[in-house]
Amino acid sequence: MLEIYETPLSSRLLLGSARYPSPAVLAAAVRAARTEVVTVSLRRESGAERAGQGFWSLIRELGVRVLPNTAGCHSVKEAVTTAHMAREVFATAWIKLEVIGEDDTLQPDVFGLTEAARILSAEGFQVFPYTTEDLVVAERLLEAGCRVLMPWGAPIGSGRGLNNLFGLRALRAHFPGVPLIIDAGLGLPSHAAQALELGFDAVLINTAVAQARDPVQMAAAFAQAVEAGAAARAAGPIEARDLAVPSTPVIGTAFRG
Amino acid sequence: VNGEFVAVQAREQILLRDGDRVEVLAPMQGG
Repeated sequence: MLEIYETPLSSRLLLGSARYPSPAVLAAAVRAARTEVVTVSLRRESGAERAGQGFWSLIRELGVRVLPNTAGCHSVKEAVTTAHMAREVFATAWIKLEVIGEDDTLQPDVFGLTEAARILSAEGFQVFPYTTEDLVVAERLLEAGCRVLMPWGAPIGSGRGLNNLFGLRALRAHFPGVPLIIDAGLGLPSHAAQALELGFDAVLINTAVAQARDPVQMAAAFAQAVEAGAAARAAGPIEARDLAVPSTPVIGTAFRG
Repeated sequence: VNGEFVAVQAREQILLRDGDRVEVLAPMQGG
């Protein structure tokens, strides 16, 4: 069982709650994904509006743990302030920390990310940093107090899968005891299965499910893929080879000695 | 208030004045 910040999780699939065609589809997708953790965010709401409360009621009815994010923040100050607000609104110390550094790729500003992680960890937050596969940045984030890392697979919403297999393998090998959750860029259940097969502990999916033609069916497909990937990892996959190895024994066949 | 976050424990110390801009935060969908 996966354990993050002393919280055991039986599902290795975390689900984002944005971009679904309707609240009903979101709820059905969360159930189909069998996820225990759903990411949420904050927005300004005027006194007359109550849409946010409707969304919050829906999430609470689903009985999932929420992981608030700092999506859209481009500076340490914005991210830290958003985290403070999220802790009050959602009553959790968990925060998915995003400090965006580049708008075309939504690549994290790893310098701001590390600084914000240090501030928030010192304040008692349990930080889930959205980062790259960079080993040095990962080390700095752990030094800052993070006990889980969320490297990107590819740019957010791109659906490209695991862009840098070498880097991600190196990250997994370098930090064998740290929970690593692939966050962003996965488009297909096979991408999720591959991440788990490589030894990553979980994946966070949003757009690939929410924007699928049938989000509920896609959520179920991702759930199956994550379970398959984790089971394959546990079973010990064979090493890939360049040359063939006969699967049928050749000694004693009719035409060879 | 006026763009600054006011934590719950600090609210009693904030005295609103005419012209102050108050915004309320609410949960929303997020990825």
